Amino acid sequence: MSLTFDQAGLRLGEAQILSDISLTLADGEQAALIGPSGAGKSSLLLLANTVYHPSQGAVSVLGRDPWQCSRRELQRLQADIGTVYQAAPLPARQRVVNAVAAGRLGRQGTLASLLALLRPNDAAGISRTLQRVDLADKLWARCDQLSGGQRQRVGIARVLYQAPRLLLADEPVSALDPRLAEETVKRLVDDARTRRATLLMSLHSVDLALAYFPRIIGLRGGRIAFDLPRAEVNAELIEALYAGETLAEDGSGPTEVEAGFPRGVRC
Amino acid sequence: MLNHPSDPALLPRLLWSGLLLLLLAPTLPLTGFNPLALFDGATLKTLAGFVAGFLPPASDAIFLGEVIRSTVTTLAVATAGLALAMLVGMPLAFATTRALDRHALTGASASRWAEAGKSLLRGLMVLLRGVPEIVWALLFVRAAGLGSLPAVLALGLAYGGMLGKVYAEILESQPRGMARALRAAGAGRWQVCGYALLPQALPELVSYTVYRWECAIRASAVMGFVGAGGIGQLLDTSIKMMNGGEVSTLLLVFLLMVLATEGISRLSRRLLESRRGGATLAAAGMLVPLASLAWLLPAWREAGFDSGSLLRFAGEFLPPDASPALLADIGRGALETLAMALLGTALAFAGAALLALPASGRVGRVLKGLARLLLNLLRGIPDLLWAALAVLAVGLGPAAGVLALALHTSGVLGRLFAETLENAPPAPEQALRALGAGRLRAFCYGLLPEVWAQWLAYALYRGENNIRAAAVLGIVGAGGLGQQLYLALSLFQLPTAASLILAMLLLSWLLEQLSRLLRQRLEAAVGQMA
Repeated sequence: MSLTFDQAGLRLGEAQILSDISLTLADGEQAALIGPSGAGKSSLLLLANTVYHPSQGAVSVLGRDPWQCSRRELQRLQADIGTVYQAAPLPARQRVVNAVAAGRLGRQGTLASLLALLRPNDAAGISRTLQRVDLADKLWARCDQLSGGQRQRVGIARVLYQAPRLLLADEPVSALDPRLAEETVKRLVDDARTRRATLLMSLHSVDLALAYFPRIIGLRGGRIAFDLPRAEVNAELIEALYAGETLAEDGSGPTEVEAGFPRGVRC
Repeated sequence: MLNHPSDPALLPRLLWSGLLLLLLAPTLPLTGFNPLALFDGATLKTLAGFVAGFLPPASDAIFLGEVIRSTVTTLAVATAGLALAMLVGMPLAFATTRALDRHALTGASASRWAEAGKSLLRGLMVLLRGVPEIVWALLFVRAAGLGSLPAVLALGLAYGGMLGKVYAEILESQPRGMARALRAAGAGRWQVCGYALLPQALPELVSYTVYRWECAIRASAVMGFVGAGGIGQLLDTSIKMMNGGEVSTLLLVFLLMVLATEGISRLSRRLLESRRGGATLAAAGMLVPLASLAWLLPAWREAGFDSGSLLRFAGEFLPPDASPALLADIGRGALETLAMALLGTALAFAGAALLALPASGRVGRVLKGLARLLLNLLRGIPDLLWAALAVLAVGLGPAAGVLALALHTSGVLGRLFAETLENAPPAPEQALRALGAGRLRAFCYGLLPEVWAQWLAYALYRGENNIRAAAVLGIVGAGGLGQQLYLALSLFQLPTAASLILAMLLLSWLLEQLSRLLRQRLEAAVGQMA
């Protein structure tokens, strides 16, 4: 089994974010995670990629319990888990070539990784990966010279380059325009299929989820509302899942830190 | 397209690294700085003896009484000096700022005479701030006698030139609309300033002045090294007598004073936000300088300041000595100064990076506390004071200057580096940790690219500052132009001293032009990227 949640729960501070989550993804299986904002989709994915520790129950990833692993074993396990985030977490001043190369840091020794910062050691491979997201010409560009959509595609290129056995994606296309969004979902689905990797993707768009995923998991209020094959998901289920959702926009974008010359540096 | 082009940044990077190495390599022979000598047995023994003597700090009543009196004098000198600087700086700023010019605001043609006058005043300000305050103090002490009056005059002149320039710039950075409207309606320079500019610019003006006051206290604390009174004079004596206990007491008092002023300056910035707070601040701004004067006056009356000898002294400077031998000497001194600053800044960059990692809390709470303490110690003690201590450790000469600059600048840069580390977005690094990258790898790929450019910018800025600092460290024996100047003044070779001061001025002016040019380039580059 690639991913198993056994009555897992997550508590952050006072808030119970997830409760009683039980689900299993077989090797090579593909599932979409849908549900209203605040349902706990991102938290569930962060439990799966070992960033969060389950407060109740157990989570096992690629057949291992991450919390029983030694540090070295955990790193090796993490190298096989790839995550696409809602906003690509790229340092503004990093060059695209390094941002993508970072996908394989888990499999590369420290010295080799640091040398690669001075002189990229697989520019050809990275360039090929970038071509898959139509950014081949941006190999040497800096991330802050890219548009939001381009940055997101760099984040996707990183995970393609990593080629993990378990691929997690947290609303990976919410920053892209509809046509590009569909193409990107398709690309991730195809990539996982050809490599027989397991894919769990949360999506804002129910249509995209139904179009590309054989299995749909509905999450609401931190609990699994339904976990069904695509064919059995009907309009009532969807309506019940999103009932009462308000159109809350969170305006949290990446904030730029200006490189200034404060007068305080003198004296 | 698929056969990827080679890295376009590779060649520039190689060139820049090569250039840096090329610049750094000669600094070692030029300064005679040998890091290994620090760990030499004999040096270590002397040093250990001296440091062991630090404990316990001296605490006998007579000494403590003296310390308290000198501390108050130091604070009073800083306050009175800054008040004088404001009296010098405000009219200069008012007269020279382009924000009030009719031709800038309304497009009327400029009067040639008025412009020439302003250029003259700007030149005067360059002269005032180009000579470091400690050099001014040294000159006044040599000309008119020991005591705290030279210190006040020195601060007044040097900081006056600085305030004049910065006040003018602050006025120029305000939005122009209101001023333009008033000017067009026929208002004069005074009216535009009072009604359109001051209300907008006041908070920034006050907060810069308070910040300068902080600087003045540090400066005033080391004036004693040239015989201009205050806590520095006690320190100078204690260091020369190798009395470790007294030195450590004085250093502690000094650090406390620096911390307290930082507290006061933060408080005053908060006060500024409310109306009543502003009134309190204004009242304090009137009363504290008067109190300072009242504290200082008796000693001034006793010492007697010979203003007649000041004029005679000034006359003897002319004409400056321009013999080829001296010019060659000055060239060597300037080169030594530059080498000290460059090597000191480079060492400080490495030290700051190493200290910033623990200080930003990346390796646990305990180390964070320790690193911050060390950074505050390094930063709180001014470079001139470090130089006086370093001379004991590695002997007279530029090597002591390198050590002093490296120590002080590590503290300054370390704090700034730690701040950038804490303010940088954590998500990129966390994401890399989640895909199995070790700590170092995640740091270098996730956080370093974010902060690196800012680190370099800070280091460049500080490096420029260090060149100015390196020029005066010689006053306590740490090499460079300052040492030559101190020697010349001690031997009353005034024409030689005049040439040296001119060299310092030239260096300072060149630096200012160069850094302005660089900054414009940098801003243009940043603007293009946006």
